[in-house]
Parts: sequence; structure tokens; C-alpha cells
Amino acid sequence: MRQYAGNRLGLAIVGAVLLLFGAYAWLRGDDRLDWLSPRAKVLPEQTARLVADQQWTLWAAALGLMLLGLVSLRWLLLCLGWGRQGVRSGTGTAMLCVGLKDVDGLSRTGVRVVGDGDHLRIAITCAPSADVGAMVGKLDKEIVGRIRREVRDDDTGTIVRIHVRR
Amino acid sequence: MSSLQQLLPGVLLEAQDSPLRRSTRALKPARTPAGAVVALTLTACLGLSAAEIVAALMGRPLGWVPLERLIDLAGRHAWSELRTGAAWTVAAGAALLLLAAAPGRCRLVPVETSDPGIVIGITRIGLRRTLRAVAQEVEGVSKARVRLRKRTIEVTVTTAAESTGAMLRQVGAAVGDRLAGVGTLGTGEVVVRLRRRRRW
Repeated sequence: MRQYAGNRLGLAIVGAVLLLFGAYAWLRGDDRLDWLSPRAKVLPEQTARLVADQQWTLWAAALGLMLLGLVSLRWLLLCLGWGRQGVRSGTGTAMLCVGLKDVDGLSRTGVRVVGDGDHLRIAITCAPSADVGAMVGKLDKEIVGRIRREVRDDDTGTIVRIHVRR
Repeated sequence: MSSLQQLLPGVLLEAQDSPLRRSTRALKPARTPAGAVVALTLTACLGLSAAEIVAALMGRPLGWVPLERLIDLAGRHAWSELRTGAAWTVAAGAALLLLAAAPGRCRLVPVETSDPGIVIGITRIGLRRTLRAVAQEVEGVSKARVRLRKRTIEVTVTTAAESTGAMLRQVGAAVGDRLAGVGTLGTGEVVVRLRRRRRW
């Protein structure tokens, strides 16, 4: 079981692009690239005129920017939890509450099936007076196994988040 | 297969996939805030630029992105004038790469489980609260504060002026018992500090 790696991948790609472009600009400005002049303009007049004469290059640039914008919009939506939150499992939540009925001060519980049944996410919030050790033991040995057998199957990975409220 | 693997089958496999490592892999931060900021910036910049170019080509510039000014600046300045900006770009790129590569601190403290398919984590603040509650249950302790450091758990208890060193052991034992009961992984040793309340 692994944490969602999409954000790290996106950050690495954007970081690498910025690093490469910045390094090129710095090396060129510092006259480290012998075959390229540091006194040349960033956008030479000849190139600007060529682009202005052939408008299809601007249409192609707009298309490219739009496609990249759509890719980054998909990244943003995934990052904000689109398709990653999963669906709440009423059966699982009920089984969790029954399993933890002896725990004092249990305030919030929830079971979610994430993705295409890839894994389960269980969230529990309890009071500081609750015996967290006993609760962890019960979850590990009985409750989680029972829930995943009922909701999916025995091999489904499960992440349990325990929080202790004030 | 290496000679060590032949001599000790399973040793390397276990070392690679220890419960702490397995839990850390599942609980390490997903870099959501940084990802959201970068993705939002990229989406806005790329989308607005595309719209601006299309609008300019159709003869009705929107004026949302100063493309004309940027083109004018690029036409007037040479590469040698961009060194400061380039250095900042390199620094930003390196920071993003570092953020992507660094594992980061888990927001949940991993807990030992018997099944490799189950990963249990307790929030750092949740662990602090449960340990503080246990420390405050010890007789004579009026206030307790718990800090989770990288290798140690520091418990500072405030007691009455006539408290004894035995209380430290009691607090240490109570906190240690709770930690052992929860089965947290990689939390290190417990350090208990005593602070006596002054008599005025």
C-alpha cells in the first residue's frame, strides 16, 4: 500500500522544467555556452517577425497551452480529492461501531471504500480517556478483518486513522 | 542471489519491508497543499494565456495577461540581463524537486499491526492527548505537557512543592505502559521532566 504519488510526480516535473530552463538562462547569460551569444535578445526580432507572419504557430501555441492547462486542471482536481475520496460504506461503519461498542467516548467513526475497491479507509475519533491500546488491539485482530471481509475481501489493504479529541 | 541471501534467506526481505517502513510508505505526506498551489497556478497561467492568444488572433484582446508587454520585454532584453531571474528560477525548481523527493514527516504516528495489509496510524496531536491524559491520572500531578520529538517523547509534569522522585518513575511507567499498549513504531524513549509548583 502506497500513498498517492501524483502530487510528488507533478511537483518533480514542474521543478525539473524550472530547473532546466533557469540553468540554461543562467549559463547563457553568464557566457558559459560558447556557441551562443549572451548579448543576443531573448526574443530576436527575426523570430518575432517570423511568428507574426505565420499565424498557425500562434494557433499551435494556444492549442499546446490549452492542452497543458487541461492536464494541470486534472492534476488540481485529483489533488483536491476528485475520485480519491471513495464512497462511504454504511455496513462497514455499522460493523465498526458494533465492534467498538465497549470503548468510552467514541465520537466519530467512518469507513470508506477508496477507488475501485483498492483499499479501505477507516477513521475513528475518541476521547482522551479512551484506552487507545485496547482499541488498536481490537481493530488489528478482529474488527478490520471482519469489515474488509464483509465489504470487499480478505486481501484488501486498510488504512486506519485514529484521532483523540480534546 | 548474493551470498548473504543464500546464507540467511528472508533476512534482507524482512529488513526491506519492516512494519515501520511499510507503515511509513502508506502514511507519508502526499504533498497536497504544495501540489494544489502549483496545479492552480499552472492551470490559471496556461488557461488564461491560451485564451489571450486566441482572443488576440481573432482581433479582440481580452487584456487578462499582458502578453504584448512580455513579448516587448523579451525583445528588448538580452540573456545576460536575466541572470538574477534565472537564479531565482533555478532555486524555485530545486525547491520543488526537493519537496517531491523528500519523504517528509508523517502526520500519523504508525502503530504496530499483525497483518501486513492493515496500516494503523494515530494523529500526532491525538497521541499527545492520550499520553497527557495518562500522565495527569498519576496522583499528585496537577498538569502535564507532552512533546513528540524526533527520537524522544518529552513529558513535563507540574506537581506540588513536596513531590518526590518516585513520582517521575510513576509517570514514566504510566506513559510507557500506554505507549506499549498502543504499540507505536519509531517513537523512541520517554523522557520525564518534573516541575514543582512554587509556594508563594
